[in-house]
Amino acid sequence: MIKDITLGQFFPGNSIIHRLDPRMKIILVMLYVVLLFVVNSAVGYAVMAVFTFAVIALTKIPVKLYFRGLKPLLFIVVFTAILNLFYSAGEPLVQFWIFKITLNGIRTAIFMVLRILLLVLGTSILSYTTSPIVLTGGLERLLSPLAKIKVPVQEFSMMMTIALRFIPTLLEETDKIMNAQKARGADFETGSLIQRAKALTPILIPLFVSAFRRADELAVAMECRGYTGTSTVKRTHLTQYKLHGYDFIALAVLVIVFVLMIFMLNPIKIYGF
Amino acid sequence: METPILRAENLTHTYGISTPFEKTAVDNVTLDIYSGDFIGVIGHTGSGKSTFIQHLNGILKPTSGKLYFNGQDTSDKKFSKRDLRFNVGLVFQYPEYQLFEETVEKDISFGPKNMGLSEEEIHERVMNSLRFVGLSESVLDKSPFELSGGQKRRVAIAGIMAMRPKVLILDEPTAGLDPKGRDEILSRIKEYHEEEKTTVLLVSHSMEDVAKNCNKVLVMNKAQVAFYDSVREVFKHSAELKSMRLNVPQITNIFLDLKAKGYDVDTSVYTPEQACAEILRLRQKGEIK
Repeated sequence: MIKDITLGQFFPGNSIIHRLDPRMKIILVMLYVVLLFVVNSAVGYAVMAVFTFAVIALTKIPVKLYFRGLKPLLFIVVFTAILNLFYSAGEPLVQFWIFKITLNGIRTAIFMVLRILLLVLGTSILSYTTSPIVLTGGLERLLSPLAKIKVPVQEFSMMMTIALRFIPTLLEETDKIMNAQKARGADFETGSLIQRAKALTPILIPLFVSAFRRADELAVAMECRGYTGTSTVKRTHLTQYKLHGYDFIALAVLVIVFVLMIFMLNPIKIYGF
Repeated sequence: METPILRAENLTHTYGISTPFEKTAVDNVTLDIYSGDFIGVIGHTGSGKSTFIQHLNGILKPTSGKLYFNGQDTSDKKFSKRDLRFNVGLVFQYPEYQLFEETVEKDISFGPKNMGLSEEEIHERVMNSLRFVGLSESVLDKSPFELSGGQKRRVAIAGIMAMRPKVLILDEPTAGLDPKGRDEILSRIKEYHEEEKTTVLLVSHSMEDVAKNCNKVLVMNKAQVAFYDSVREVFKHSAELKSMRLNVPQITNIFLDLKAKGYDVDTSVYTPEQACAEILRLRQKGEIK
């Protein structure tokens, strides 16, 4: 059950997308997000959807897994759709009591939903194909110029690496503790809201205890290996990133899509969509 | 024919179906567990033994296949999952990490309280299980977090014993303990088994512990049951066990070596007592002096 949460989970593989330079991948995803907010036409969204699914196909990770990652967002998506559906200005199509549905409303509702879905799918591509360690490594390199103005980039990246590294561990731990308490007859599924919140104590306390224990052990282990932060020594990296031909091809593809979208800003409208 | 207390029928469990991590941890296992047995469960790391035992109290649901408790199908809608949890007590690996209450007494009471027992009954059970794990009453008011590692482990085991399950499953209850603590816990469990007539499944990596305490051995290898028989029968297969990266008790190894050296010994001994008797028998025959 807890293992079903896939957001921020890495699926090892050797596809072209997996092999892209993490720095390039981060830049591409940022560009992709900007692009999603530029697009405002049906054709534009169609192109974006085709593009997104083409990249998903390239990752060779089953589409099912991407959709599984969307499930927790169902509420937000429905909520956004309803909000946009009823609160848009324009000529009403249907009207009842204080609600009115306008053509404009339907249009923005659909676009917003598509935008959220594509946004999550696109960013999942990044997190599914890049291991957290590589991801923070890439982020650190991208931010390294900030170190010149005394931003502790390396420390931040170390903290992020550690945090990311421990997410699966903590999830596994939670699963284990839940099972152990279930074996003692703990019931997390029934009862009132307060009863259910109380039922969490047998999970949270052991979880906190073990998180502190782990943090303590990790700190000692790091000190034993001579970690002192960046204050006294210049730290170097084991892996050096190098841009390859396919990194530039990927950039070129996205730039082409981007330019295409800019040209489509005044789109051909089909039935007002 | 006696109804087995637990019966697994073609039980299969696959993790991460349709992900790149898909793995069948238990593959088509069929076996019967009879009331009163003390079964040692052995298998190399990743052989599926932990996954298998988590099915026995309903924590995991089989991907396919069935589990019967006292002849009742546990996947039946009328069958209460909670009943299964209370009847089959499972002590996980490193159970001390599940402790959470302010005092030892409250922590041991957690299970019985969930069963909805009366205060007196709970208190009686707490005292009783505390005695079984060999802790003194002075720990009752202490915080479980103040105790030593070995004591915490015992409190956690007591927490399961206090539910008086018909089947008690322990997943490596002695991992990470010193030899003295290990022997102590095992002999306590053995005592509990004999006094309460509880069926016990003990997952262990120590062949000596299995030989000393169990009457049956279940060997798992690559998600399947390799052997499930009496201790003597299972440890006869030393060559097969070694190919599964398992071993036989050291004492059996010594006798296998003696046999290889040409002595006419029975290689199916697995405890020091049996070894002693066998050596005496040989002396009487005059084969050795």
